[in-house]
Amino acid sequence: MTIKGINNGAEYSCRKKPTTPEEIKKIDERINDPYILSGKDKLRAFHQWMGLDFDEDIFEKIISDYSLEL
Amino acid sequence: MVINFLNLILIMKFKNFLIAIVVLVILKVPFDKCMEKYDDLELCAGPSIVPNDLPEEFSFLAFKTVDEFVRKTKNLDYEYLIYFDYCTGEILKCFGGIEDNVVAEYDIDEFKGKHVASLHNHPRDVFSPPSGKNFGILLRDFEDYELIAGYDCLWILKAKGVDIGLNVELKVYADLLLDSCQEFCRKKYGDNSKAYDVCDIIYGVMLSNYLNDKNINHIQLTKMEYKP
Repeated sequence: MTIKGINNGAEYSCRKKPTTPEEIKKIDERINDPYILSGKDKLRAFHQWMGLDFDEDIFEKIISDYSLEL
Repeated sequence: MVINFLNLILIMKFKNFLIAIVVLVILKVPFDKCMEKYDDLELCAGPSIVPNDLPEEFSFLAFKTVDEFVRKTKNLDYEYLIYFDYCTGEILKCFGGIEDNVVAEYDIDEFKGKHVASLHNHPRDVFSPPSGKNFGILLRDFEDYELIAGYDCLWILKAKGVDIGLNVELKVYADLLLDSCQEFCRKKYGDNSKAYDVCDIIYGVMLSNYLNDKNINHIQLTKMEYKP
């Protein structure tokens, strides 16, 4: 959040879908880096850290429930 | 002597009055310019929201404001942001931005006594659900709702009051979740260009579930698909 302006302000920003080779390369680098968690492992770690249950099949269930298979 | 003193006070008051008018005009110009551009945007026919999609607190006039915004920004490749009163439908502030960002500047006193909701669009090439930064609403006391007009749906984030801890948690979770979804879809679907559309849906579902499972009265995320 960036605060600017007369006595206040806000920045509304969102994240672009990766389209350029450079943006996709960054994702590949994260996936292939053996020293960082990626994908489901990253999410599992967050849930454990927060003391929450984690459903190992959550992505697959959403894909099936919403018929998202390509 | 007394008369001269009174004259001096009158002259000073008039001078201050003139300065106040000039300042007001200068502050109003960007809003008017933005509104002019906004008014000139073409209304898009086709699916949009219906009145029942909005929270009960929103009036029919507010629905008209939101519906018009959805139709005007649907095919834009840059962001627009308006603050509006969800009881009267009145547009209070207007800002234009770039593809994935819009910056608002305001004096919070302008929102006193208003029922403020913000509404901005997410162009087609960006992820439609709220980003981590969009939870900044939890740092703004005057803003009760943040609405996001995606290409095919409207996201309604109810977030009344300030909650700094929750803002940090949701920002971290949303950013981490979107990274995880992108990595999962990249692994599963490889170079398929539709992989990120799937990612968009998974991210939205998981973000809504995480937030709504918290069962906190003042915060809620809802997705409303546009209807023909």
